[in-house]
Amino acid sequence: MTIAALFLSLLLCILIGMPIAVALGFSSMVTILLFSNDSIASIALKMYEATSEHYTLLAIPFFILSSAFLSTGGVAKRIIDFAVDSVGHIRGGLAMASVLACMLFAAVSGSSPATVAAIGSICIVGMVRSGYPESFAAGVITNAGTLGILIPPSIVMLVYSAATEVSASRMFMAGLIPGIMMGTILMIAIYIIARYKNLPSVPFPGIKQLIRSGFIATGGLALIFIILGAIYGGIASPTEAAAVAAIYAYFIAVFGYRDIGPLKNINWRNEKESLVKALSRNIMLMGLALPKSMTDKEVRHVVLEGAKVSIMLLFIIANAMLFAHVLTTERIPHIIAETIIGWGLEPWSFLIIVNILLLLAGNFMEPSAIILIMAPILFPIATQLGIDPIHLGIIMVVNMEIGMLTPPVGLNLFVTAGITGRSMGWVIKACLPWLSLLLLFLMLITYVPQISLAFPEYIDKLNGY
Amino acid sequence: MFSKKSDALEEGFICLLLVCMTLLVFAEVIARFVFNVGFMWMEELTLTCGAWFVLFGMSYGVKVGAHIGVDAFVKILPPKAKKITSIAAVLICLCYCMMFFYGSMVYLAKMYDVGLVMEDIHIPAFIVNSMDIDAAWDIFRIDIEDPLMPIWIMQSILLFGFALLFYRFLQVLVRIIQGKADGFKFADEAEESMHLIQEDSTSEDNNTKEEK
Amino acid sequence: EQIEIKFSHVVTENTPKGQMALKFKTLVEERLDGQVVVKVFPNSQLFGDNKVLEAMQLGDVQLAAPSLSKFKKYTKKLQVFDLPFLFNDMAAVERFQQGEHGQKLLNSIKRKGLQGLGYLHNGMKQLSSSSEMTTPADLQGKKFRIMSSDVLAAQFHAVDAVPVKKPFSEVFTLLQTKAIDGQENTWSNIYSKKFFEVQEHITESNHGVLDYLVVTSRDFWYSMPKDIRKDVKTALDEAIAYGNEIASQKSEVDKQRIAESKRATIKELSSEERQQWVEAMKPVWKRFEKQIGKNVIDAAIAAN
Ligand code: NA
Ligand code: NA
Repeated sequence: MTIAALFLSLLLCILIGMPIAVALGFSSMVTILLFSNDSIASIALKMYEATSEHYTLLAIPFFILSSAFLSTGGVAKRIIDFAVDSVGHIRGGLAMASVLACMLFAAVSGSSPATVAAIGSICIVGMVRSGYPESFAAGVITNAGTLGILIPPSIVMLVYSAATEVSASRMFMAGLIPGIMMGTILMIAIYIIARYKNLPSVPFPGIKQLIRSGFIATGGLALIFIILGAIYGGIASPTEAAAVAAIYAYFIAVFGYRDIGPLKNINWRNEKESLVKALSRNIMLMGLALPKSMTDKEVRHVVLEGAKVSIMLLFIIANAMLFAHVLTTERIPHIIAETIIGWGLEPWSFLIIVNILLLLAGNFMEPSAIILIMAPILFPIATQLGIDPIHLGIIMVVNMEIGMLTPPVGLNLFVTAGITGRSMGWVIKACLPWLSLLLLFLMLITYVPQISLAFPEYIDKLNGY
Repeated sequence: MFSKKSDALEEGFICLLLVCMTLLVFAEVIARFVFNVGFMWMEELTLTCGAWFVLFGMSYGVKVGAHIGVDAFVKILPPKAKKITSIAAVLICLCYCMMFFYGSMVYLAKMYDVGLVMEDIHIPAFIVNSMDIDAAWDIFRIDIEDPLMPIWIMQSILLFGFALLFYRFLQVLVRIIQGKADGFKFADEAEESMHLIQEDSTSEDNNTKEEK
Repeated sequence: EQIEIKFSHVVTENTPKGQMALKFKTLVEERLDGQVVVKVFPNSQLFGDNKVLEAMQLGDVQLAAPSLSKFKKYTKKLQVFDLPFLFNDMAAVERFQQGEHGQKLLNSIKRKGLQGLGYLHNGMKQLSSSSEMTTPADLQGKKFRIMSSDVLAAQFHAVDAVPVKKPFSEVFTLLQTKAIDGQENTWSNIYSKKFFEVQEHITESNHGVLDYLVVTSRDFWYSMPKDIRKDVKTALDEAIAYGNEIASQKSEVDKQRIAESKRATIKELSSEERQQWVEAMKPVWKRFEKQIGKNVIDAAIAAN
């Protein structure tokens, strides 16, 4: 009864065109008021908790802000120019480079939507400008962005290892090979499609031009190395590095390239100006520009664009947490899982059921919430059946990746819809072909445990544990 | 004129919150890595800014049509049914706001009664010093001996936020009834671009003013 | 009419706290069948530690067990448990908690509408870091993650270390990349959160206690009929005793597991070494004497 009320009201609310966030929040609230004796005040409290107690979520607005700075003005244009010059001559080269960028970025961000947010706006625009269909570009990025939780560091893996007491560093190591593999599969698929569909390529511009455009793009490309350096150099956590990235992106756009803001159209060095004079002039101007940029229309516009997408996402997440709260307090996932487990399955069929269960849960809930609920239920049975806990963990993470792409709650879909300004339906359609690839990959991960286990076992052997 | 000023204020405040969050986290990294110090209050302040950012910004999202929904089903309806469905949808949204507004009110009232405070955010000394001990407690629930920010003030955005959200949905409702829009987004693209053109001309005005 | 008790906590069911909650549920439903039902919500399903006490004020949660440091905005008195090197071991903590002053402290959150019902153990805190720590001087300039607590901040300031407040979810990566140098926690937390995998050195300092306060709202507690309340309290006491038993076993086992993993070396302090720490920390006791009460601190020392 409760289950029916919850899902039917959600479905109805979404169908009549309500914002997804409000649909999630409203159906949860109605269910709580009808079927449980929680007070309406505690739901408001829960709402505030959902917006204020999740520090790692802040990485999302920070990365969105940094990519807003990079994608307006000319920073993105320079990065795209460089990418086109270096891989544009290969069929599908730009799309493959975008996947590579997502993989690199996944190595610095622990969350999937943050990866799409950071890479998406630049790469999608770049591909469209080079003649790719927009849906192709959006589909590639939205899917490749899910690698954010498979390639370490990963917030979801940390949650899993805390819930099951398996080693976090082993989980991280176990994700590396599957992550690289998934990226490679995507790139191969792109190459085949590119050949088959005759996707655009441009003639190679020559080494000299490549070096030139590479040099010009350095300021923007440096971002990824700054984030990598900040995390692995022991300066910042991934969330903090996201804030550093946003600040850096602001400086490079406003002070470095000067495409927007108070220094727009002011040269670093005027003709016939001496170096000393240029330097002192620049220092003075930049000192003035710092306070000026606060009221600058273009800078404000960029921040506001970033804010709009971030608010939309965080508001959905907060309401989705409310929804997950109802699901768990009504013990809905527990009931389903426990019934299935009662069937007494063989390892191979158990894994199929696990996948179906997780895919279903992935439709409606956040990865961390799913793991916290499902891991303690599935873990003991898996151990009994002789399934390695690390293997189970990777299966769960890949399932969570797919959950990022399935409606109604699929954060990567929302990010892409936000940055492209397209409808949900359009984004879902764009992702579908790539999603089937991900499902195939899930099967592979499920039935070939060595993919996940080989690397951590090898490292353990090296260390003599 | 009034609406333009409040627009700028709204947008400015949203930007300010996002920038504050970013700068706070950045400052924390710099403080820890360069100066080897940590500040207890930074995390809580960052998270509070984050809550304000979402809860204040959600109504702005309605205003600019940033919230995502699925319009595939509504789109295929005949105009009249479409209008009725959209009105129903907005009415539910209004209901959502009212429930959260009421819940927030009860919650904050309780926090006020008990006099609960934040964990790390202190009230600046100059404010505390200018306060009368009894009035501080009786009116604001501030304990002068240990002047932490009361929760009811720091989380009052719940009330503002849902009131504003209600107001924005009400505007959508009026627009749909008047036939100026057929859903949550602006139907009339021209109106939006007109708005942009006006903005551009005012910015030019500002520029010329600055030059003088 | 049936009384419903919602017990909300933030850890998994296989932890001492989770087990204690389930035990309480079993006992109550055995003895007060039909009169009282207990619903346990683990894993922050209902509320996190920061908001659960507010939900309790609203009457939506009846029982919770946040760690003692979480009560700093309710009372300053419970800070006594954060004072460094005040208790020698868990037995001393237990003696103090069961003694006159410890029991009085259960009422210290009365003014805010809450009532402490008993202390649930997690264990003594140990120091972990990327470098060896034998004397207080070894901590100089090092960054340590702490929970929000004035006493814990003062504790690290006293040895010229840098206390850093960071949410639990960030700590592992910060330790792994050495953005912060160390942290303090109980054996069971160091094990379950995997901190020992990214910290080479653990000093068995037993320098503080990380216990939970089982808490309810006074409105709810005194709304129960007297006889039922008595039975519930008895069941709770038994459940706490049961949980404490598990906690002390788990502490030992987890320490053993960490030692066997060989990922971190465990350093024990000799009594002379420990005395250096105690001396270094005495100014901290002095500083919080006014807030906590000298008699309370003295009683704690006497419990050793
Ligand atoms: Na990652
Ligand atoms: Na989903």
